[in-house]
Amino acid sequence: MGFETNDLAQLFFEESDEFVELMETSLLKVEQDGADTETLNAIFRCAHSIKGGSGSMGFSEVAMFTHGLETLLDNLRNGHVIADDDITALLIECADHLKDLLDAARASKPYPNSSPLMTRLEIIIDGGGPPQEEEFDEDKFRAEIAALLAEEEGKSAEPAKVADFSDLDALMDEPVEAAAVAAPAAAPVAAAPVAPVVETVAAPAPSAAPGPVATASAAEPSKRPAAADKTESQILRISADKVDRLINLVGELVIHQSMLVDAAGTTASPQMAAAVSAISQATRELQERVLAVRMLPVKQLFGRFPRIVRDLGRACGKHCTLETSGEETELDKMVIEGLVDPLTHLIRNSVDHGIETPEDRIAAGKPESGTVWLRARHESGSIILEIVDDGKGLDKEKIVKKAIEKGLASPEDQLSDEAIYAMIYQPGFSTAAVVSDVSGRGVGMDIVVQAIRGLGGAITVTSKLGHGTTFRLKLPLTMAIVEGLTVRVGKELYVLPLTNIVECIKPGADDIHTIAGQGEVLNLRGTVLPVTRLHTVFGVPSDITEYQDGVLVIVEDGAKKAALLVDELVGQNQVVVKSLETNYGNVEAVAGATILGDGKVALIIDVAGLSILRQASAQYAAAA
Amino acid sequence: MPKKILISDDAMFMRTMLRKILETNGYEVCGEATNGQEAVDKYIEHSPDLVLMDITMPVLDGISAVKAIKAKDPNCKIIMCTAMGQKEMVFEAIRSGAKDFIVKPFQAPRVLQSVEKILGAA
Repeated sequence: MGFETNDLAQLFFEESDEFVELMETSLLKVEQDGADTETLNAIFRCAHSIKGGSGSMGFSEVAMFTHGLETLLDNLRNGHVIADDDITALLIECADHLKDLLDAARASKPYPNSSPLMTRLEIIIDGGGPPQEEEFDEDKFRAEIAALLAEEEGKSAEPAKVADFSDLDALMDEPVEAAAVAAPAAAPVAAAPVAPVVETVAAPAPSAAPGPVATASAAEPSKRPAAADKTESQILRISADKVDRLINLVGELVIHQSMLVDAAGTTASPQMAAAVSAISQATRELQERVLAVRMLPVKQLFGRFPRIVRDLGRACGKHCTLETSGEETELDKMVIEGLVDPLTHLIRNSVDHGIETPEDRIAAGKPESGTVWLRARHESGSIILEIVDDGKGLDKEKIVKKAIEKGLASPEDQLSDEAIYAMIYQPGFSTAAVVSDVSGRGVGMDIVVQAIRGLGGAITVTSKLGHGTTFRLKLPLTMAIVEGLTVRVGKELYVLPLTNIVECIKPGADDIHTIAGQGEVLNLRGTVLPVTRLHTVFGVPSDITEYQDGVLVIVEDGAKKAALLVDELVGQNQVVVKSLETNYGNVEAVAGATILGDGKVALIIDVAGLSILRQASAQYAAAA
Repeated sequence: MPKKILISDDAMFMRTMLRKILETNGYEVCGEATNGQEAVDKYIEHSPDLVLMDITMPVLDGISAVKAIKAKDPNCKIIMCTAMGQKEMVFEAIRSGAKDFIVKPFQAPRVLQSVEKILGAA
C-alpha cells in the first residue's frame, strides 16, 4: 500500500500492549469490585480495537480470537451473560492468551493454540441466549444499507436553499485566503466556475443539483485559529534512539559550554561574559528539557504488579492485595526499564516470604488479607521507591544463625540491625526453609542489589518482626548526568557521585589506626570506618604518602560507609556520563567517564563497586 | 485544494492507518479525534468535508457523535468505520445521518472508493 508497514506494525504492537494491559487492570478491578458498565465497556473497547488492528495487519489468528472475546464481552455489557468469578477468570486467561498471540505475531512465530479457549468462550456465548450471529455478507448488507439510505434521503429532502448568485460576486471580491478558509459547516458550496476561490463541496443528495451555493456567511473572515491546522496528536511517538542521540549531543554541548566558560574566564570582555553566561543558561535549560523527554511516569511499571500479586497470592494460598501510590512520579526510561526485574523480585518476595497465610494472620490478630504497598516519591533530587508489606517481618535471629552456618558471620560478631538485614543481600542467602517455586527462581537478593546499584541506586531494608518489612530504593532521576565531586590523585582526576558522599575531612596524624586482619581504619567521632587509598585501588602514583597530607572523603552505599584517601579536592560540578562499556566492557569500580570543563577526561567512580571490593577482601581475610 | 477529512477512532493505529491511506491519495487530514466528543468539537472547529467515524469509542460513542454533528450541520458527510458484528449499529448510524460505512480490517481501495463516492457525488 506504499506506506511503511514496519512503523505501522510497531504502532499496532505498542498500542495493543497498552490495550491488553488496560484490559488486565480492568478485569482485576471487576474481580475485586464486581462488574460495572463503565469498566466492561472499557474492556470491550480494548478487545475491539485489537481486533480491528490485527485484522488490518493481517494477523488473522489474533483477529479471530479477539472477535470471540469481543462477542462474550458484548454479551456481558448487554447483560445477556452475567460476569461471575469463573467468567472473569476465563477473561483473564484470554487476556494472557492474547498477549501470547501478540508476542507470536511480533516474533513471526507459530501462534499458540486458541481453540481450547475459543471453545470455552463459545459455550458461554451460546448458553447466554443472544441470537447467534449470522454469517456476515457485506454485499447483501450494502444492499440493505443502500435501501435504508434512499429512504433517509427521501425523508430529509427538504427544499434546497435557493441559489443566491449575488453572493457569489461578493465572494469573488474577497481576498483569496479569506474565501479559501471559509467553508463553515452551515454553508455548502456548489461546484461553480469560481472554483479557485471556493472549496468545492458535493451537494448532499444527487437530486439537489444544481445545489445550494455559498451564502454570505461563507465570505466572512474565518475565526478559525491558525493553530488549528497543525497536526492534532498531542503525543508524539519517537524512537528512544533519536532521543538518546539528542541527549548525547546535548551532553557534548554541555562539555563545550563549560570549556567556553573556562576559556572566557581569563579574557572576558563584558560582552563576551554576557554571551557566555547566556549560553550557559540556555545550555542548562536545554539539557533539562531534553532529559525530561525521556522521563516517564512509573505508572506503567507499577501497572504490571497487581496481577503478579494476585496470581502469586493464589498460588501460595494467601489473600493479598497491592496498593500503589505516586504513580505519576517520573523517572528516566532507562531506569524504569532496569527496575522491572528487581521490583518484580522484591514484590514476589514480599508476597511469598513476607505475607503470612490467612490462618497465621488471624492467629496473629491481623486482618486475614495481607497488603503490599508500592510507593514512589521525590526526595531531594532522587526518587524513592518503597515496597512495604504488613507480613511477618525479618527474623533477625534466624538470619544470624544462617549467616553463621554459611560462614558469613562469626558467633562473636556484634552486628547492628542494618548489618544483619544486609546479610540477605549476600549471594546464596535465603532464609526460607523450603525454596518455593515462586520466589526461588534462581534470582537472589544479591542480583536485585546488583541491578539497583547498576542503576546508580541504593537499597536499604528495615523490618519489624511480626509487623512487616520495608525495602527502600533510592534512585537517581536520570543516569545521564551525575552531580559529582572531582578529586585528584597524583595526575589523575576522578569524579565521586555526590549522592554517595557523606563528608570530607582532613585527617589528623592519629585518626588512622591499623587493625590486624582489617587493615587501616578511621576513627570518625567514635565510629570505626575502613579506609581505602584511592591510588592503590586504581594503581596510579600518588603525590602523598602521609594521611595528613591528603583528604578523606567519607562515602556511603546504603548503610555501609568507608573513607577514601585522595590527594586533593578539585571542585563540585555536574558531569555528563559517558559509558565505557562499548569500548572497555564493565570496568570494576568505574561507573563511566566524563570530560571536564578543561577538556580533561575523568573516571566516575562506582562507589558501590568499591565497597564490594572492600567487602570481598575483608571476607577473605576473615576466612583465612 | 485537497478535501479535508476528520478521522475519529480511539485506536491510534487505526487513525494512523487511515491517515496514511488518505494522505497518500491527496486528501488532507485536518484532525484526529480519539472519542466521539472530540469528534464533535473538532467538526465544529475544522468544518471538514468528511468524517470517518468509528462506532466504538469512549466518552461519546460514534452514533451519538453522528447525531450531535447532524444536529449542528444537517449536510455533514460521515462514513462509519465498522467491524464485523456491528450491523445493527450501522443501521442506527445511517438512520442518524451517516452516509456510508467501511468495514474493518480496512483495505485502502475500499476506503478510497467510499470516500470518493461520498465526497465526489457532485
